[in-house]
Amino acid sequence: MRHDLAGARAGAALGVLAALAAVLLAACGPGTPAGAPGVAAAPAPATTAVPEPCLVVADPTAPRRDTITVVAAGREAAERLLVRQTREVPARIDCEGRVGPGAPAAFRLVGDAPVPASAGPTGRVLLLVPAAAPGPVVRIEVLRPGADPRDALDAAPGALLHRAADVLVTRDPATLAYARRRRELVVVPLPWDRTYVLAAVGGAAEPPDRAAALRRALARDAVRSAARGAEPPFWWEGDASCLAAAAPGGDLTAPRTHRIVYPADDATAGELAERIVALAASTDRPGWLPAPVGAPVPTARAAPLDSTALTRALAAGNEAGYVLPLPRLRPASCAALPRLPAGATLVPLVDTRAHAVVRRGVAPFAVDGDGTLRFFPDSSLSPRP
Amino acid sequence: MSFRTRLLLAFALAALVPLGVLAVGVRREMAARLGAQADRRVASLVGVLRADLATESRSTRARLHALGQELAADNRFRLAVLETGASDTSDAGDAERRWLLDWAGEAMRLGGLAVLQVQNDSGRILSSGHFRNEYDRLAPALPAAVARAARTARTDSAVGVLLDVRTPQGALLALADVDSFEVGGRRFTLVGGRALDSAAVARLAPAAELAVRLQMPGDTAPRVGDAVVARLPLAHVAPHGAAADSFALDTAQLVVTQDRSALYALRRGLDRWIALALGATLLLALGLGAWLAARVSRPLAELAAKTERVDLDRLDQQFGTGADAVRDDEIGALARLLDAMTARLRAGAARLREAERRTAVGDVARQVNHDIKNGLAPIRHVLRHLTQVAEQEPERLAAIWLERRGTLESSVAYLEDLARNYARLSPALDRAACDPNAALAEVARTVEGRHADAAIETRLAAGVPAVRADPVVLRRILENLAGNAVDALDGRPGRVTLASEAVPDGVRLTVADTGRGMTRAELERAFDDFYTTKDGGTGLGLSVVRRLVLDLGGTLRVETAPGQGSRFIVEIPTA
Repeated sequence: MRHDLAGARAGAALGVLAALAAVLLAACGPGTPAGAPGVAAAPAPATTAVPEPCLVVADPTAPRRDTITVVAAGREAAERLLVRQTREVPARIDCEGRVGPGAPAAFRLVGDAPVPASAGPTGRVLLLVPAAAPGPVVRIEVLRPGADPRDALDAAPGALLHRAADVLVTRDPATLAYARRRRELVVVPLPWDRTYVLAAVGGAAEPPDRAAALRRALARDAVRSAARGAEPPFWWEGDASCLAAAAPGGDLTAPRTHRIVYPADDATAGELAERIVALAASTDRPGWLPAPVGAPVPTARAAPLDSTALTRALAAGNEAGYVLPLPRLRPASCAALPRLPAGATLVPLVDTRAHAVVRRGVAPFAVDGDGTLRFFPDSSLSPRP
Repeated sequence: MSFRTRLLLAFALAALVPLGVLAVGVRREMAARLGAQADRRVASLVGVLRADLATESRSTRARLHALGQELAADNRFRLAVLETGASDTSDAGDAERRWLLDWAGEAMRLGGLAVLQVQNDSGRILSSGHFRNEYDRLAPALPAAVARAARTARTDSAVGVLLDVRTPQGALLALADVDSFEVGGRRFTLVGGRALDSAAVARLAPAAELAVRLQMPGDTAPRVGDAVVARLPLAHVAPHGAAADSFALDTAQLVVTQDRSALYALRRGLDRWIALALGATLLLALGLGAWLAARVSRPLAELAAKTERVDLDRLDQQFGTGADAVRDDEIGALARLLDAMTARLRAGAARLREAERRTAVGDVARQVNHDIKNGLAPIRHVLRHLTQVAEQEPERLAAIWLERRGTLESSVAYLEDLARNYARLSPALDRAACDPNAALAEVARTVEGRHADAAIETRLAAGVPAVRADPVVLRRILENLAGNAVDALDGRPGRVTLASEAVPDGVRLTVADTGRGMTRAELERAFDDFYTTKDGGTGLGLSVVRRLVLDLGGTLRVETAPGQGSRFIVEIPTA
């Protein structure tokens, strides 16, 4: 992977950072407000000189490592992680959504190589070295599609190309449960970064209290990954221009299917779509369900679509509903957002977040507002007082 | 109907009827055996299907029972449903509740099931494997419907209960059953089963020509070409109407069909081969019949044609000539018998002619007497007149002689003509040993002298025996034939060949020309009296020749064709 391959998504990520400022968060503990990462290890060493918001320090007593192996779940996450380490940003937004000053590029890319499938669960390795002062080397490994994230935490004996992850960002509940049973690993929740919505034409508004109860029930029972009921404010409610710009102008009078479609590679979206179909058949069907879903029960069904088919379905706008993940923070560019059907209303469902599985002894790193990790070439950091 | 047609029909029938009977028999026997074999395979498949489905139902029932016992013994289940004393609320601990929500899915996968649902005693779904997030929905009618269907299946000899159940992605068909267990005095039900969709059903057929299809109520008939050979009923439980918890019980069927196309193709192939064999046999029979008919009927037809040409004046027809002469079958015997018969007829005719000739000689003698008298009367009168003049007027004798001389000469000429004509009509036979070569050579010289344009050729075989004939008659025969041959040249350059050769019991004399030849019609009348094609001809030449040859005890044959000349063949017995 090269810088110029980051493409539109990397540009969009940079745009986000260009519009935001960095904020320093001192060691977020149990009392951290919702949305901020917590630190499951000891506080940062007192010798750190530069305060850093949302700093994650995993067991400062453990011996430091010269190389930090970060496993990203997929190419998009790896690109975002790479750009965040190797590009200068004029402003940052921290894990609490506060805008702060920018930061120079801390690392530079020196190596990019594919990894044979037989070498382990990752398919590519990016090697980053500090841009200026000497410091730890950062290896970014990209998890193969379909690989078990737990395998990234356990390097096979004698493996040369793949190393056990020092930092793994994941939403997989099985991986998190496994990591919690390992004493050398620390599980750190990252900011709530996604809100799942039901985009549909029709349906009535629920009373606020009932809507909140429904969202909480969805988060508790329907979704298996870390979730909570979607909590306002929702950026699209005050700024509809982004979604309006994405609206393709579909035919509102076109006959609609009875399908609730969702991205096939998103388990949480599938679980929500499944629950919506189940609710459509229940006697106390929520009023915000779109009308076609409430039609004869056997016809309502959930349908996973790949990205191409989903894009077509959104453009056609004739599905009963679309369960889609939206960024919790407003993106600087609307290009990365799905093209919502014309006239569709968005019903927030749940917020989700990823977790960082951190091996003890890894140098402190920060978490930006979009959940992306930021590493530092030196250890002169401290949580902001 | 001709003999040939009858022979062809007989051959065709004799070949086709047995072969047709054989073909029909083979076809029927093969169809019966293949049908029986297919029936045995179907019966075997139906037996296996019944056994498999019964085993599957028992297995599903056993798994549901084991899962129920396992669930009842698990404290997490007890905590999830009984902790607050309200099993159908969501107030149980989050950990236990989430465990329960996922339990059915895990148990379903581990148990090899496609459908699994746990309900409490009020019919609320506690955990669902095939539809994880339909928890808390009230569906008490489902286990009741499945239980009712299971009872119906047992009484109606159905092979199982087919449950049409919803999943997030659509409907799913499963061979289902129901079980229940008690925890804390509350009854919980388990509904589960294994998938029995169309693909799984299709895999039940072990043979390519057999197919198993799930026919739901209202489904259409099997595709054309497939024969339904067995139906296995299934008690079918399906959602009914728009209500989410309403189920109807009817009957689905496992339909075993057999693709008969291979059997039909085999029959068509057999039919083609039978038709081909019948056709080939028919052609062979017709060919053989035609060949045999030709072998039998053609000689008969030739004998018939020769017989048709035989009459009293034409008894020189040879039946036993060519290939027929050496045949040792019935045709050869018939030809020889006809030859013998014509020989006897010739002898009889000769005797008859001799009698006629003798009678005719008397008549001719009287006619000659009369004619001579008529011819002599003027002479007698002239002589009497001259005698009278000589006695009475001798000086006028010379004048009277001159006066009556014409009468004398005309009378003498009349008598000469009379003599010549009588000689032609009734030659006298004076049989003696004659040299045919000498006769031929003399005739050749005579003819050569008369017709300078004709090339006269003689081919006289050495050692030709003498024949018993009248030399004058023999010469008349040959002169007539040679003269006709020269006349046939019509004044154009050509060749006349006189030849001799010895044949058994005789001598063959041939007079051939390269002239105009004769048509068949001309040939048939050539030997008739007064028939001629020449200007100034009397029409007696060939008829006289023929009579003369017969008088000599010989035969006369002609080989001729228009434009290719004629060949007269005379065979005369040796002396």
